Amino acid sequence: MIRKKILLIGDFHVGKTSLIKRYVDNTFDDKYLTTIGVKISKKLVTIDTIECELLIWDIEGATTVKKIPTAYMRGASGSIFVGDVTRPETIENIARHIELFLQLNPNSHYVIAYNKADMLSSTEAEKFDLDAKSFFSSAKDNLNVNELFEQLVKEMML
Amino acid sequence: MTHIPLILSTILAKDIFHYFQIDTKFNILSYSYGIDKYFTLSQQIIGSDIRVYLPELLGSEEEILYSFTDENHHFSIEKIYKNDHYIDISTEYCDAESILVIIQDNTTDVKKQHKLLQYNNELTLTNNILQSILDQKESLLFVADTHEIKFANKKFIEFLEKSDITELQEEPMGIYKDYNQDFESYDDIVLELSSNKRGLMRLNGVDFVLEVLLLGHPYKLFTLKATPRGSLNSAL
Repeated sequence: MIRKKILLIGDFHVGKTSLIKRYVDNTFDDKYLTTIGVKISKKLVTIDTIECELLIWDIEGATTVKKIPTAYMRGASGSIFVGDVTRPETIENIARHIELFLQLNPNSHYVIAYNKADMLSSTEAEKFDLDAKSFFSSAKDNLNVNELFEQLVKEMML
Repeated sequence: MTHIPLILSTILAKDIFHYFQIDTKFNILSYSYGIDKYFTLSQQIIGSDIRVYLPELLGSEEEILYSFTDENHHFSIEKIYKNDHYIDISTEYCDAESILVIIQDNTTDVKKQHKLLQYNNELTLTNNILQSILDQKESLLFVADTHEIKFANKKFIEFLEKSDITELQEEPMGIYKDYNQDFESYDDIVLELSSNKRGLMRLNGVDFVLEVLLLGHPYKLFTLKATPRGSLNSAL
């Protein structure tokens, strides 16, 4: 069976842990408990009859004074970059996170989650420039959570 | 040298660290007693792939293999959550055919760090909320202690043609030099106001009604409302 390491990367309190909990356990809790270090969750998926075990790394979020340890990023096949649509600075920082990730894993794939989209008005949503790699998501409303992971896995399996 | 196994056993009994010994194919050759508190171990541990228990090693095989040939090479990952414990893992050269994967339990320290991180992140979020509330206001607002501005809303920063609050902090009282060169602290501004903590202030050629709200010492909220010329006295 194929095993793939994928990461969720973003600033603190953007909803990385919630996206994983929704995807793996189909649960949601809006109480904020910050992640420290790293915790791995596993999920078995089948893409085009190929079984794949995803090792999903829930990584401590970046803060203004603490960056994401590069040791966590090495050897990843893919990453979901997460930003909080209600905190513009977390969206702006995604580009920096992607750059660092691709420096370490030049052949890896990624998708972008503009998370907490349930809190976005339709006017505000128009300001985001979405493409095939980026999604509005909400762990709370279960919006595009499976789609994020599925899109990433498809790209990794190509 | 004959005491080394005894010394090692004594150290391991202290529960400070544990280990797996693995070969170049990542198969487990031996392991320390008590390691089962971090992993759900199968009955046949010897010979099984360490990545079953430590999937954190997946993707880093190439780097780990250097530990077999280079005694000075150490692969490490910190703060891995396992069964309500936080562990650091690192590799140590054993011989050309095996290395030790050392597991160090840092749960107590990491849980303390976690409390601090939680507090710090919540404080940052609260600060962001306060900042956005201040930014929504039509007036120019700032909060200062005795000598320095601690918060300022976007309108105040833009009015003074600064890029951010740090620029304001670089010239503590300089922004009031056109109004009163004698100001040495924000307490001086408060003292100059009438007893109801209101007064007039000219800043960058614009007249404002200034109001001060004393927050917990030494913090003060300053509100500047632009006033049309000729109506200064009526504004007060």
